[in-house]
Amino acid sequence: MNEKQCENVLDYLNEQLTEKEREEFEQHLRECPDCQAEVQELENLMGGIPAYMKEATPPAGMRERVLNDVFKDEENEHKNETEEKQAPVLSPKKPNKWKVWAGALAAGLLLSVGGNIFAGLQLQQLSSQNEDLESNLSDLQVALSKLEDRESENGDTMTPTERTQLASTGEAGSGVATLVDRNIGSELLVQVEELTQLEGDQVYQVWLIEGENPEPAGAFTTDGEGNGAVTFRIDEENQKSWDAIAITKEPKPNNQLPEGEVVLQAEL
Amino acid sequence: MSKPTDYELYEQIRNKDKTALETLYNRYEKLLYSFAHRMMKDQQAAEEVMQDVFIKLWRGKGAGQYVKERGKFSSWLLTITRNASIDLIRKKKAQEVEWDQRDSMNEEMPGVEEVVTDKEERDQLRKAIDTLPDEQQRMICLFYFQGLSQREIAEKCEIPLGTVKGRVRLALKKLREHLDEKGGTTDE
Ligand SMILES: [Zn+2]
Repeated sequence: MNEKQCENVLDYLNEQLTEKEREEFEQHLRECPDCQAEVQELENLMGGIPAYMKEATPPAGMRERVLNDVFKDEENEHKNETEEKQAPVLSPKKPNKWKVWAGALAAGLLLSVGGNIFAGLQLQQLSSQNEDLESNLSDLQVALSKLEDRESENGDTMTPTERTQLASTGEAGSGVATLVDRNIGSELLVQVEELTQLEGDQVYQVWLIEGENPEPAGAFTTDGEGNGAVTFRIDEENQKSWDAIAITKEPKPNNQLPEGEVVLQAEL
Repeated sequence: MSKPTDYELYEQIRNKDKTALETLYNRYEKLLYSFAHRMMKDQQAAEEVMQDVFIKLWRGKGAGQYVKERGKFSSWLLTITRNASIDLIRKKKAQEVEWDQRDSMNEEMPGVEEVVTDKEERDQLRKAIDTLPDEQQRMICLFYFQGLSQREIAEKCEIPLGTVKGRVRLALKKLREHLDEKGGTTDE
């Protein structure tokens, strides 16, 4: 009936369809006896294979850990939904004129920060004066994996590439900026801690700076302990080499140029 | 009292019945874990797969939603476990590549070569796969163990897109025939 759909059987079974394609195929599957027969035959053939694999004994306590996580996940899901609505974060979907950061980060520009670089997921290598930050990095990983989940729904993939530490210009605060490569463009993640409290409409604003020109790259507010985080999407077609990243305290959200003082920064 | 069927449990899970999920977990823990362990070759990674599968099942969205036109529930559960394993292999591979400072992430990942040639794992499956012609071994590797798309398989094997499904089906069928022939016997 719909031959185009009938060609999707294998990709359906291997979860190679986008969300939309999968839904369309499932609709088709309900109506197409040929596809039903094919899917069922393949599933049956594959379903018999694991019986011939070597058995493994589940580790002690796995049942409790898995089930606890499953039921906990549900609570987190709800919590995240509300948090996301409240956060005055510049949406990554915001049409952006910024250019990437390209290979600049990867190319060692982080070296100027001095010994505070670490690659990939080697989180332990954070410099020792930032031990507090280290404990917060698990949050960053959560943020990363959340992003990853979001991306994988679109059939996109991403890989964390580089992180650099943001140095305080005054006495308070520290942070980490992470660049994540995606199939298309990249994503900048910034996480901070122990910044001073915001008042009124104030926000912390992230800027990517090329020469003299800062461009907004996401904003965030902090919690009671001065912790905050934001992600920002950089499209591939907007290539640019950034010289620095800075975080300012702005009197109001959505400033296109900085008005407030710089609180954290790193040369790129 | 008769035991609830898988499908009955699934319906209860959709209504957020925790006991139903626990029952289903007990029923499939051994099978799914053994499978994930075989794919991941690592206890912790296999547990991660289990977690992923049961979270998907509990959320009941997207690929975590069972469509009864697919046929047997247990086969579907194994398929999502297979896909979750492949996903995690890809992620871990990407991280390793990252860590090794290689400049590009290619699509290489532990395929049937690694999964099946491991010397400690000379199980019946391995033996049965070995007896297949190379082309069929390759189909099983690319489709079943690496989870590639139809197009990727066509490109790798340089065969027309339209022939991939037939070849995968034939390879799986032959594999099953070999497995069933040998039954529970080992020839050593
Ligand atoms: Zn069809």
